Amino acid sequence: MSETILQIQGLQKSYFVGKREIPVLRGINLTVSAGEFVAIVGPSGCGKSTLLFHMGGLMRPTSGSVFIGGDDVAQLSDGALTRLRRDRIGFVFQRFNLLPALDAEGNVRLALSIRGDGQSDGVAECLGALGLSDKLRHRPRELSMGEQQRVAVARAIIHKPDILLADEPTGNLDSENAAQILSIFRKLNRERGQTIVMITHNRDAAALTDRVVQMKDGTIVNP
Amino acid sequence: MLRLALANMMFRKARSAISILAVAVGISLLLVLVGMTQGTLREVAQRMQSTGADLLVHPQDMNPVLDTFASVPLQAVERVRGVKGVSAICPVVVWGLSLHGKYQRVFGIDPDEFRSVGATLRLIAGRLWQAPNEILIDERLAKGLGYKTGDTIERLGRRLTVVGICEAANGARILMPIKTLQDARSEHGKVSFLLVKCAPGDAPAAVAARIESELSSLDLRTVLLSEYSKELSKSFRGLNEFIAGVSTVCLVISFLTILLTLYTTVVERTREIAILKAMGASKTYVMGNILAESVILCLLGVAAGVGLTLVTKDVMAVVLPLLTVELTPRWLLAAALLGLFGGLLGAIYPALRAVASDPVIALTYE
Repeated sequence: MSETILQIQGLQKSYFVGKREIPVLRGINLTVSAGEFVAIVGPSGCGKSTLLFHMGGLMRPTSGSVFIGGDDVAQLSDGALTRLRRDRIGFVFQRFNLLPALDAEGNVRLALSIRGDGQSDGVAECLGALGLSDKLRHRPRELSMGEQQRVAVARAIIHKPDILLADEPTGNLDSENAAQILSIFRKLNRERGQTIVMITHNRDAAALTDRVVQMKDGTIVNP
Repeated sequence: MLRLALANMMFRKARSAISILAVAVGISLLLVLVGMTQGTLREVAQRMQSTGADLLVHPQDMNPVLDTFASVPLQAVERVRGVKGVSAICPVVVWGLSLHGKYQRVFGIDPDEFRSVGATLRLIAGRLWQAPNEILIDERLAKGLGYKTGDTIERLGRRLTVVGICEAANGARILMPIKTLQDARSEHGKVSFLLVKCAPGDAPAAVAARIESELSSLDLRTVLLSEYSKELSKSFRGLNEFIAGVSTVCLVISFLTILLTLYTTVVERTREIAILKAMGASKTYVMGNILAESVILCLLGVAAGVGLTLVTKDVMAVVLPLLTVELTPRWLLAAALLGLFGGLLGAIYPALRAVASDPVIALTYE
């Protein structure tokens, strides 16, 4: 049995507007094993992104636990959470979120420099593997949306994270580019054993994964 | 971190240029104003020191820098001449006149006595005066106001004729016969102050002390011309406060400009900063990135400011040739440090704001 890489127990998250409590996640329990490719689906506003941010250490739960490789996110200091995101998590966003001032290679190299790794070996190869060999010096505004998302994927995986978290990675892409991104994810999962948790509205995308987790109103409806 | 800071600056060229310009203007303002005041004072002091005299002896109630009255009687001059260590004296009558709206000091002297205290009176054009209403002007004044030999100036109810142009090292920019000045102002037998040359081997400070103690009844005060700069500073008491005020204004300008620029940058880059945090960038990294950009902007601003100052100095040499703008290494360093400090100070609030921002809010904001 694969090791458990992510374990969520009784996760609750609420926002407070004055004294009024607005629950977003209502007791989530979820386990992801190493090497799994999991899709999280559900209607807008059901808490998918909030759940993903907890998985990535960007949010702390109101109650419950989020264990990433054995570390409880709720108990980690800010510095430790930062290191966790830096070393073990990779994010891919719907809006790509590339830094406009850097070219493709610079955006990917940034992920290494944040880790204090001055070496840029592997950046060109990583981008080349994603079909971007001739786009290294292109800034985001000079890339198509599909190319931008591929650069974002390269940036998210260059440091070989434990988990790749993708928030609607195909949401801003046409069908051809969306298929290309999903193909990349599948390849990463099958060939490199990359653990991937992906939020998506796309049924076809969800169908490519090992497991589909359905959410509604802040809970998982198919445990 | 440095690469990202540079990339961001190059990506926002217009804003970076404006920030650099603002720092440059602040630095240049400081350097030009300080350079002008200090340069002018130093130039005046050097002119006095270049007369070759060791001491300036004047009445206690006179400011030798600003006042123009003559109250030292000739008998006092002779008594000073009799003090041990005094080898030569040149009595001077001081006057002030306005030429083309610019105030000029005039020394009424006897050329032989002037030379006896060490002045060279080297002429560049024309000749020394031979008649009461003939005057010399120095080369800088001649060039600055367009005077040449033969030109005349109507003053004191007389027509004064420029007969010679001397080098700019004779105490005042205009020299004329002492008797002409005394007659015109009805100050016969009186002078404004004395230039004194000390005997070789006699320390000027000792001679000065002797003059003050032996002739205490004459109520005279001595000034070492080697320390004339201090005398000038005393005469313009508010100068240090003025320079401190200007420095503060420049610092505030740099600080506010950087603050506004980087604050705007941080607000515009909220999502980028959130991305950095999501990628695991530490607070140090994020803050360092903002501060690095500020340091680079400030350093470029300081360099541009020094360049702007040099250009301004050259322009002023043409437009205002009688003013001296002095740039010293000390003030260049001070300006650089002030610009850098102001910039860093202005960057701290935006940097702290960037560090404190919630990345989730930025990432989910559409």
